[in-house]
Amino acid sequence: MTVVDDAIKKSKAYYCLGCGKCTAICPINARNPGFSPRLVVEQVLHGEVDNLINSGQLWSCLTCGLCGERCHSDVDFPLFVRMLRVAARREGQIGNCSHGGAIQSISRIMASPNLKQDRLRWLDANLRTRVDSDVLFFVGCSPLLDPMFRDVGARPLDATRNSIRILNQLGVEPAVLGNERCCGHDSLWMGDLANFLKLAEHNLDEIRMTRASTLVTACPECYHTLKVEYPRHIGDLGVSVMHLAQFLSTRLSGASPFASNINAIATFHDPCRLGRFSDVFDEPRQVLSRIPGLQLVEMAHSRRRATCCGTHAWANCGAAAKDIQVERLREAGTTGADVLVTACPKCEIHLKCASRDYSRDGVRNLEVIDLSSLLAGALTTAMSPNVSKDKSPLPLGEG
Amino acid sequence: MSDLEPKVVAYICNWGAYSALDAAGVGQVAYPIGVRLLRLPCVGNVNVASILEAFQMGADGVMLLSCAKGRCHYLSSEDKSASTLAEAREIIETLGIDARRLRQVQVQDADGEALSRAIRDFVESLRIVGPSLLALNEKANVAQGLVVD
Ligand code: SF4
Ligand code: SF4
Repeated sequence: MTVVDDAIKKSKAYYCLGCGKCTAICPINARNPGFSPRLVVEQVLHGEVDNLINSGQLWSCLTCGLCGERCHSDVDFPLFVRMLRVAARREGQIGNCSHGGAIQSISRIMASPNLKQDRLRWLDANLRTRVDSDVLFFVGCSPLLDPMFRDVGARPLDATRNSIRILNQLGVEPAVLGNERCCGHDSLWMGDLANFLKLAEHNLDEIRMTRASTLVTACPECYHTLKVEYPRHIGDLGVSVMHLAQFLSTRLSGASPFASNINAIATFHDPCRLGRFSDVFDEPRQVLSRIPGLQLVEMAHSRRRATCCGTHAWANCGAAAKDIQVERLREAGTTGADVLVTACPKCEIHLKCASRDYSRDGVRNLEVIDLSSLLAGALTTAMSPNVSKDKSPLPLGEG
Repeated sequence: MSDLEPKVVAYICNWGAYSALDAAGVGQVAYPIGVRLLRLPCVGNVNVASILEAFQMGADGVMLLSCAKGRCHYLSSEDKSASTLAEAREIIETLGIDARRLRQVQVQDADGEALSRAIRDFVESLRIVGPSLLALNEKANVAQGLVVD
């Protein structure tokens, strides 16, 4: 079976009725009418794959899955696109790489078997980890993304350190991997299956060498990739995979460790891979509701209807992406929130980038922050949250 | 060329540094054969991606050959290179690539001898650091036909 036949079969594209509901809801189509998921399906079903590949349209899709919410035929359009990208790659079409391809190079370097990384330099004496721990914290790409996005005010390592601080506060000293690789999410979604498989196999080996029974990550892309894609492609990891929000929601049943009064109104941005792709909607909200003084309000597009942060796999950052991000920030602003909380380091980077560029463009000045950093700011201990900037991100009340 | 000869990707500025390369050519000043020179309008515009891609493809070292201090044709290259290098160093060190594999040298206009010396110095230091292990990975990829870009 060809890659294209397989894509049609696995995504159930043959059920497409041509109703166009996907196109009507697609955030890319709203900004770039030349891209239509309905037409993409039609082209492929009519055997016009070459035209489609040459048009470059396959790389416009955010793989956000919003269209799937409307499709009555249950067509898995993101999967369809992802599988067709494998075919496009074979024709030499590799998609646009924002940041000049730097992030793609980083993940391909990590696919090398001969790597001896020095990726735990961010650990400091205040953060407690243990090699034989029952809980493994999968760090993800934050040590590599951190140097790249300081100019937009994003510090992904803050979220990583703060995740560990919270785990420590709950009495968990997680293991971390010195030679962990990129989870391969971006390679997989950009049609680079070969490198995805290499990365996955390295990680599988590393994870199996630990004593952990639970793997926790603060990144929804790592979460979905490890939990769903690894078993699908290379086999069982032998650990239960949880996003930090899920792990915390199971551990916060007793007394809340959060005592600092955060007098703020927050709204939660559901990351696509955590929300629509994994049905994790309640846990981050449950955890946020445990912070004294924090008021949670919802955006019009939340949970299943949440808008994407505008970019995926660093592939399509352009005018449409920026417009989606600015609209998201406006929407957050209209709720009256001071803080836009997300639970994905990449959403944080993309939304921070937009809030910086467009802060004067009718967007209310609101703080974009990762869930873990917000939570760490509310911990009972005297330790201050790990936030690499001059000012505190939040109007922290008196403990 | 022997596999033991370090492979270097050297981004070279079209103005001052390239005039030094020209002078080296005219004066028949030799420099190591494992160096691939890539001539650019301004080395200040070499981004982190171009440095990482060279390493990913198996370069043993990456050099930025830019103009002498204060001599940038476009005025701003020094600041830009400094921040690019700092960012690239942090990333490659995290990935386990020795930071000694990345070097910037500011070259005096038309000084072929100095340019050749700078390249030789770098190549000698790479012999001490040893061959890049990433090259093996890329070779294996190519052999398996896995790489399309
Ligand atoms: S919503 Fe579903 S059935 Fe309708 S055009 Fe889109 S893919 Fe086809
Ligand atoms: S996945 Fe998102 S961007 Fe892609 S077609 Fe569906 S709605 Fe549009």
